[in-house]
Amino acid sequence: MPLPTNPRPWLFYRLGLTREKEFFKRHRDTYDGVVIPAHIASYYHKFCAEFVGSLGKPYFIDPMTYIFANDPLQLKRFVKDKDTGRTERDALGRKRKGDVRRSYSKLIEHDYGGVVKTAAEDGRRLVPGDLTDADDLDDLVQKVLEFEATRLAAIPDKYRKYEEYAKKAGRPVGALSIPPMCLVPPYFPTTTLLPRGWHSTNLRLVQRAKTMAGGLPVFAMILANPQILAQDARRIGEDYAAVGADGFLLWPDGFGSDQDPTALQVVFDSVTELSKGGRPVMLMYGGAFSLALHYAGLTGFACGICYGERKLSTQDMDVEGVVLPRYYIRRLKRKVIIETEARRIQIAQDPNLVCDCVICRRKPEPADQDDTESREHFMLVRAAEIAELRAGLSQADFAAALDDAFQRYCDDPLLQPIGHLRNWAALLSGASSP
Amino acid sequence: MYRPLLRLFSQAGLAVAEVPFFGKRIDLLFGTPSLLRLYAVETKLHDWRSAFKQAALNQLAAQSSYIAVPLALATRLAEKEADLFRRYDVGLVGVGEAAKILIPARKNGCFSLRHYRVLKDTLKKTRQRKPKTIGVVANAIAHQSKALVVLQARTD
Repeated sequence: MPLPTNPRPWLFYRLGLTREKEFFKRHRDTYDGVVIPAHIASYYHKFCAEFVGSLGKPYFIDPMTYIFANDPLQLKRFVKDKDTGRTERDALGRKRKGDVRRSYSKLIEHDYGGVVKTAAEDGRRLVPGDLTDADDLDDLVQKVLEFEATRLAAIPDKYRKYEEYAKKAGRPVGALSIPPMCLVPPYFPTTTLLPRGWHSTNLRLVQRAKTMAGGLPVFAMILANPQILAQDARRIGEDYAAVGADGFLLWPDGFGSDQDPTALQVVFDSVTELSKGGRPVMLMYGGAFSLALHYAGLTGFACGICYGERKLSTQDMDVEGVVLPRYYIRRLKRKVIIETEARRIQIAQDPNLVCDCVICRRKPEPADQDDTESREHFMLVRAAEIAELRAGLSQADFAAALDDAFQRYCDDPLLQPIGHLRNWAALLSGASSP
Repeated sequence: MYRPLLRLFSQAGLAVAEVPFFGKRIDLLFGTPSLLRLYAVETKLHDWRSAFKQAALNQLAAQSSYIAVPLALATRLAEKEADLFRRYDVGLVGVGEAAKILIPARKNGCFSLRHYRVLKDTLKKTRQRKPKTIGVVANAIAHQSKALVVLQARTD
């Protein structure tokens, strides 16, 4: 599957809960591709293969290798009491961890093996020293790339019957297999550019991946916190370009759209730097600020459907608690909790905040929407925002709209916080178009 | 700030700190013994606007919703932002040696029986719990202890 042909910015949704499948299918015109985390591709292989096969959209697999450089405890799930369903606690009141989550266990045991498996068995995190040996490094790259290239590319059994029709139609059967749009070499967090950190190892991983990619583009994941990017974005970009990366997946660790102007500027400048060479740059876990990054040269961004717009790489994988349904307000570029904020704000009473998507026309009061409806609304609105950019909305006009929304609503206590609008507008007003 | 507030609302009967409410926590919730009437209080030392917003959201479930801030700040707000408080029916409490209601809270059309019942059910569960001293509440908040779910507070 080639890269998306739509004009930028591309929007990729990250596959999360399997019940999201219907959103992807129902609103397939609202996005350009799909990101599938490796542990989900491994554990729900059949589901994902059918999903990718039936969707017919560009996709790639995030190899998720950074997690193995974290505290191994993060791979483990919380232990639940069988009767109450509540998490068990130890004598000090800390939540108890049990076995490695099954999805990661399968990825480690069956798919990656090698140094990843050894480190997991030793109950320790992976360190750059584990990949000093060229054979170990090659083994990891080969297994990860093979997994990405083949795991979901084979025709699901469900569709085998169509092979006959393909033959009769004179189409090569191979055309029914769906390779990813790019391969992502194993990656680890860049916390320093010093030789003993992960940076040099990451570069070697990309370099080796280029020789094993079988003609598929290789996109390097740059996982670094904004402090590192502030100092070294240019060098990081140059280093990856030198080892042959065909594109960049930028993950500013823990970065969110509502961060302070300094962090926003760092990410804006990093995108500008990385895009200078003409290679695609996609932001991972990108929120609405990704729309502003369009003017820095961003090619695309990925997030979950109405969630997953910020991620800290050291965050525990086993997240507990219920995520409350949220409603995205396009004008304010923020989400509100439906049960409380949307109900109290009475968005439908303000014509400037009313949305005209098909969901909102059916249910004009956002407080009445359920989780499904609010997420579909998100997909439709985000697509409309992207369409505006594709239609040539100028940087100045985009900044003016942000500033106008801020000025109009900055005194309304129920709509706060909206300081991000002022920050984005200021950044875009001060920055020149690339 | 809690001790003067507990004295101010001592007639309410039940006092509970850090009450979970749709992903947030209500700093202090006071209720009549029958739980027919609830008073929610959001406390802040400086950022009164975020407390104000939370207090406005608390109106979904509590008949009276206040923000409580240090007395000097509260006096200034009562002078300059009285219209805002009255427009949203949010009450204002100034806290010094004693706590004092500067702008009374009013029940408004945002009150939702469904949200009230959610809160009421949470409060019912606390009734079986042994009351904790105010120090325990303060410590738990200071340390952001996750073990703190619902604590009953008393002034001794």
